[in-house]
Amino acid sequence: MTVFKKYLGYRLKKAVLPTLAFSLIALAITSFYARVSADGFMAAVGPMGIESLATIMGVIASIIPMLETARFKSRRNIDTLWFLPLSRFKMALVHYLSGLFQVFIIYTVAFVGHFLCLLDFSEHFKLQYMPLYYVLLLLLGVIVYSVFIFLFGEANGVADGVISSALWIFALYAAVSALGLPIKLYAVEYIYGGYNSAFYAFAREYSQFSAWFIPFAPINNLTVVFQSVMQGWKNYNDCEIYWPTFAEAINRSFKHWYMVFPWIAAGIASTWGYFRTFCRKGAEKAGDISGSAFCYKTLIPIYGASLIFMSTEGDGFTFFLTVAAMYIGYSIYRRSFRIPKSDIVTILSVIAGSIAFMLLTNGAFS
Amino acid sequence: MIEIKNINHSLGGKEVLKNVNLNVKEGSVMGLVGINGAGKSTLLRIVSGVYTPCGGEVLIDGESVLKESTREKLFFLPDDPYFTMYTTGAGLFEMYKVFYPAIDAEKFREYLTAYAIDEKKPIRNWSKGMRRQLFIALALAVKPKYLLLDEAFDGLDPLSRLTFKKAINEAVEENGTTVIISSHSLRELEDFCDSYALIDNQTVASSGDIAENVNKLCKFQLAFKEKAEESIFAGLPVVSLEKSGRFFRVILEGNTAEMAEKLASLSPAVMDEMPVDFEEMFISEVQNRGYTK
Repeated sequence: MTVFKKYLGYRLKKAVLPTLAFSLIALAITSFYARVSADGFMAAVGPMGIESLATIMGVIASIIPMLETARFKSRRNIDTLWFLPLSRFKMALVHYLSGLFQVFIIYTVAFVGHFLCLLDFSEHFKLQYMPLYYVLLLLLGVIVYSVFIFLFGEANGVADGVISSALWIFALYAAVSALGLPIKLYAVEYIYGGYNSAFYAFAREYSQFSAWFIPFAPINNLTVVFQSVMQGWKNYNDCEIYWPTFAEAINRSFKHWYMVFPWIAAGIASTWGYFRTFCRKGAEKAGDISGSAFCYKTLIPIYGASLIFMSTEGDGFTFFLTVAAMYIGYSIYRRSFRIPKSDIVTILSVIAGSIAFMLLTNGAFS
Repeated sequence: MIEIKNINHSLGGKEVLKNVNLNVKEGSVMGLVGINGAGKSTLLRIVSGVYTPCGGEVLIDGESVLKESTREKLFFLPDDPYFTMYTTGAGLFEMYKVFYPAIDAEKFREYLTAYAIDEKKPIRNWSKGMRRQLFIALALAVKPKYLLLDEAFDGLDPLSRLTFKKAINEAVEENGTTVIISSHSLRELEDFCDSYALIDNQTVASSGDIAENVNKLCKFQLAFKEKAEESIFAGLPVVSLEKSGRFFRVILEGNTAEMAEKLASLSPAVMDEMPVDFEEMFISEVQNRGYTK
């Protein structure tokens, strides 16, 4: 047996106990949720509660990558690992697969528990779609897992990795939503000619679209679709249930389904990026300041600009708050209250750029 | 054989190693010495493949250390090995067995018995010396062809140092292990190292056979009837000079008999020849390079 297979076996063996613990917690949560939810508060049966499965998947697919690769953020740990006769690529692969295996087991246990609980209510739900939901959620979970293992890997320290991963959850959403404000102002002025129903439809559409920029959006939206198909749409007045087709469910809740493809691409790119960074990053970087473009360098300006855009009034207090927040961000990044000139230039550029953009899109200061 | 060729390395933008060239013969025990921050640990990390050098290469038996198969032959024991809350000796043995299937369980337990260590207890509450004993036992049980030890004596009590030195000698004799060991305990190194490399000014300032290089120096203690100044030694190849009243202790570079003759011409009241050790050679070397501490 090769060293790679032996090390993978070793890692999986080491993962048994934490996986078992996580599985039991996940099983307890989903089973409890399934019973409480399906037992219903009106009519005979309530919702299926499969959103608990999506939540479990979101949590484990974002946390396990961190637990699995945190050891590579410590110089002392790297000293005892990287001289071993296993290439960095294989080392990276072992930890990628080991984490993925844990996600698979925990999710599967939770799913089976949930499914068994729902069997008591099988006549009320179209449970034949559950296997398909299981597979699709698992595949989308792999994308989330890949995105987070990459984002965490870009940081040089555990704390930086946790902070940047957490910030990335809403970074793109915040940026797209923030850009939406001037766009909406422009739309109300020049496209729809005021706050009319056409404008509100556009605003709702934009809001749905921007929600796709949260990494958990694919698993959340998939769950909404399957929930619709499997438990139907209830008319609460006469307790009638309408059973929508997949096409109808997608049209209502999954309208921007094409956004799955950028996330698939992001998952593939993240996997590639994880291996690339793992193989190329010098051991001496461990514990150092996280200077990657996928950490603070990009996140601080994104959140800075978003803070300005999202404020309804572009007043002095907003700018003060933005400067203060960005300064705190850069202090955390640099681990010093003395930040370099380049960071000061970035803060000023974000302020200037935001003002210019808001002026160009007209009306933000009105 | 370990060949270190034109190694250059920077840490945080600061050049730590510059054009380092060094060959370590098979079966030799080399002491890596240098002042704090000289780059000894960095060099060991590069030789073990932990760091990828910015320039140059390390060849082990003619193959790059960055190759997986090359690293099967080596074991690196860092100065502060990592452990978790629950790490035990048995757990570490299990992990290293994955990478070194030939690890000798009997030898491992033999060392642990010698050090009076319980392999089943978590090591988190142990002293630094005890943890080091455990890691040394692991390193020796692996029986690597090349053993790289960083600050190996750190934390070890005198008895453990003796056991350790014996074990290293055994490994060299029985398995033909080549050892590179960095330490500040130069007297300990002198006991079992046959060669040395002095890292200074980001490069290998001097290297070679310890005995041969120590023999290039000679040490004398002199006492004069009248008060004398250091200047009386001007013109002699002085490496180190200490003055205490009318007494002088001088280390000179050159043939002992020849130097004794030259010193005798200064008419000291008393003149004794003394042995030079590795530590004195090191201190003389670094002082000559401008360090005054």
